[in-house]
Amino acid sequence: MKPNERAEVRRHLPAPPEQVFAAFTKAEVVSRWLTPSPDVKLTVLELDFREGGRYRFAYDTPEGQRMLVGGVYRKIEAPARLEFSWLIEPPDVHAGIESQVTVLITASATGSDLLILHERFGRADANERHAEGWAGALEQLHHLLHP
Amino acid sequence: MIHALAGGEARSAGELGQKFRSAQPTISRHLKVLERAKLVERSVEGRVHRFRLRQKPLQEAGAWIERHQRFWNGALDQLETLLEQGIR
Repeated sequence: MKPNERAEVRRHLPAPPEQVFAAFTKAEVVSRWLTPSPDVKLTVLELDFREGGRYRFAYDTPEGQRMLVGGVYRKIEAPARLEFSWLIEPPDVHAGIESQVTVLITASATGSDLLILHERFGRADANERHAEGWAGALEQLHHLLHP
Repeated sequence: MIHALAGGEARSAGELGQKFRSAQPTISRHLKVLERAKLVERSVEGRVHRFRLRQKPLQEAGAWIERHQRFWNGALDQLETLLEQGIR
């Protein structure tokens, strides 16, 4: 499956790669930063940090909305590379859209350079394939061209 | 084809045929496929059929990207603060 689109974020961080990598590996540390803003609380429901291990996060907004995200750690190469799948659960508008996060960490003179690549794939749920969405439309197109 | 329609304007099948230097039936077949995939919409004025790229699928992908871009930017702000303070 080829990604349709991706989000990409780069950041210089004031710590060596080992420390930056370690921030992804433990529930008690992850819950202190891996949220879109400080007022969105992250509860780590599961974090089995090994290749093939699963994670599941619950995000609670101040308005009382909850978003659930889960996935599998696909590649762990400390302290340089980490890959995991990312799937938002219903009833979110983006539920069922499969995606993968790749974290790349390189040493720099003053710390680390971090690159997050978040690639979007199609919808996992066949029932939602015909719903709105570029991914679903492209899948339909594929079937039409290659019946 | 999608690229040719990416400007957002509606184009007639004839205009698209000239652009690709393809036979009109080939163009019509491509457009029909895109229409069935709901990537392109058709409007008919008399004998002229115009085609336009549907905006919604693109916007939906755009919203996903924007949301996750914002998510990671916000998360990395917090990671940066945490690393400055030192993880304990």
